[in-house]
Amino acid sequence: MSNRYVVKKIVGALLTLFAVVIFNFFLFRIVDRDPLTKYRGRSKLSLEQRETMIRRMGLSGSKWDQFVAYIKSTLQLDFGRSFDSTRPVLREITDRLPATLILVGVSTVLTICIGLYIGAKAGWARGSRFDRVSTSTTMVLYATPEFFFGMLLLAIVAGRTGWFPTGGLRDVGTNNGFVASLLDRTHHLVLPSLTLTLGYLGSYSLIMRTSMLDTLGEDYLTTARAKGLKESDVMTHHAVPNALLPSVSAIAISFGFVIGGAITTETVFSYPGLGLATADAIRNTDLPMLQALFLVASAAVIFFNLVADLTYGLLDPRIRHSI
Amino acid sequence: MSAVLEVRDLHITYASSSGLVPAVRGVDLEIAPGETLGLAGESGCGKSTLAMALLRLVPPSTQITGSIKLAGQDILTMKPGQLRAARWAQASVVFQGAQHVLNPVRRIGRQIDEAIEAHGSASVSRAGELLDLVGLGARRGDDYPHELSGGQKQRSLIAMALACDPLLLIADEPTTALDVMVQAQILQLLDNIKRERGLSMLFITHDLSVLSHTADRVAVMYAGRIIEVGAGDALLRNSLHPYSKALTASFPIIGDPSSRHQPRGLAGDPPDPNNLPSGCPFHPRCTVAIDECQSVDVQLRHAADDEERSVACVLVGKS
Repeated sequence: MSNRYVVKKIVGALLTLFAVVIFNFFLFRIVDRDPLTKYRGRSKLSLEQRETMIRRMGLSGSKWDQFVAYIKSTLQLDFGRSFDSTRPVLREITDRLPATLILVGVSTVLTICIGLYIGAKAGWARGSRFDRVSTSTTMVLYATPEFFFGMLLLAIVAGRTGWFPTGGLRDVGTNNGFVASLLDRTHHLVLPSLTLTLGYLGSYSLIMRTSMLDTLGEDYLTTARAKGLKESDVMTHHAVPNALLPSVSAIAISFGFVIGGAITTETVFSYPGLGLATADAIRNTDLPMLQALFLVASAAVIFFNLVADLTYGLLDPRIRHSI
Repeated sequence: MSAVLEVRDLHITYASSSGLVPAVRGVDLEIAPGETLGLAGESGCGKSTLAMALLRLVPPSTQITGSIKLAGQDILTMKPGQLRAARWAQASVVFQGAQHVLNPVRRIGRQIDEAIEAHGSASVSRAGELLDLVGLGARRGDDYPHELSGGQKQRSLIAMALACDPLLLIADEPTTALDVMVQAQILQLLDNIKRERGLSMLFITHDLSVLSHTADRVAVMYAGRIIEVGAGDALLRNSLHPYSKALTASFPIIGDPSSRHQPRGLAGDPPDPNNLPSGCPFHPRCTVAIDECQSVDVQLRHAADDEERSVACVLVGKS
């Protein structure tokens, strides 16, 4: 893989991100003519205060002036203040980002590992008992919205048995010591990450199963068998590496939905991450927050597509050498 | 000395959605140590099925009856572990490089070494040594298949086939997709290696002309059966079965100018294995067929004037 390819992909990703920034500018001006309608306590504002606020939010002057001001402040990561909390949007986001990163990170790793494993095994043994059971199960998982799992888990495992907390990031007042705090946070993380994992396991495993089936008839598997390799080695060294290639890009695309899944999952479990912040911002029409959250979500999808492009190059020598 | 490969009454039947398809219908053959048997025939005559069956590389749903003895052991009755141990160590396959027989995302050297590792022998890589032997150079072991040309791929497949020092090489159309110059080099290479190592070889091809210099004996297959077998040169110069005659006439013999003036093709298509003609399966395409051919299916029998020759035709050995 040449440096030029990497640079090209990164530049492409940055350009896409910039397009999102521009799109955001127009989107949020279409949403509401008077952004202050939802501003908390707007009735108490005098006309003068109103105008000061509008100026401070970069909403005065011509559309072009507004656009320039918007780009400038966005580049400085200045997204204004939240209508709801009146704190800077950037602070709100950085405060909540780690919780979501952990939740989405844990679930994505679990989904990829378990999903690819199930899909590879099912495709390899097509028509076997494992294939039939796992494929019908993953179909059901695939078709069920993740918040439904969340509500089931909440009602059964958290509500009835009390084995797991029903929501939140940690228990208040148990912050004694690093280990205890870590255990407490993990305890809170189990159900939300399980929900998100169950919600997306199906699509990952079905993708992998399909691409495994596509490789089953390949001649190099016959070559590997002819050499006296064990079936398990034929699968792990020959079938899986080839079946992974189409899966990588399909998974990167589906990652965009995981971000959406985080919104409903965090809402079900009152898990204070960016997903819950998005739901709250929509409820309260907190435009500055929404604008920044849209940008973060888009940036995440763009980032993972970039990772997929680069990973694909690493996995497939034919691509690596031609680019 | 006992035969390296001894096949008796081999029948191979594929299970397809349209029913059972007989691909090989009663084949006997043996290969002596150091001997090369050329197996020729049109596409679909069952020669590749036969080759794959020798290491039981046909789909699991395929029915195989008869016996395939490799160095005295019957491949068909082996347990999976024994079969894995026999594969590549007793007999290996020189696949056709034009197809995707090499894993595109694994280095050539790894694909050679994994055969050795599967048989638990070497802890050091032998790939470099083998690639040197086939004239490719040890450094190509770090390459991926797409970085090699057609001829280089074929060389690496020969190196791979030698990895476990087999007794028998099964060369399945190893020169088919190559241009004539490269084809000659590969044939030369196979011949040298075979001689140096005293290997036996089953050389499968649809092109009889490549057998003239490599094969000690030649067998011609039609519709899942061997219809003529004999010493290589004698059979190529003077074939007795009308089908072999048509095959040998379709290419000029090098060094025999007269053969160049009368190249002929063979009309018609190979028979559908699902719906074989009655009697001799070749009779609908045969130019010398008589009424008897529609009802009598002659088995392979010795030709009167040639001790080594056997032919399956009513017109041969009858007079």
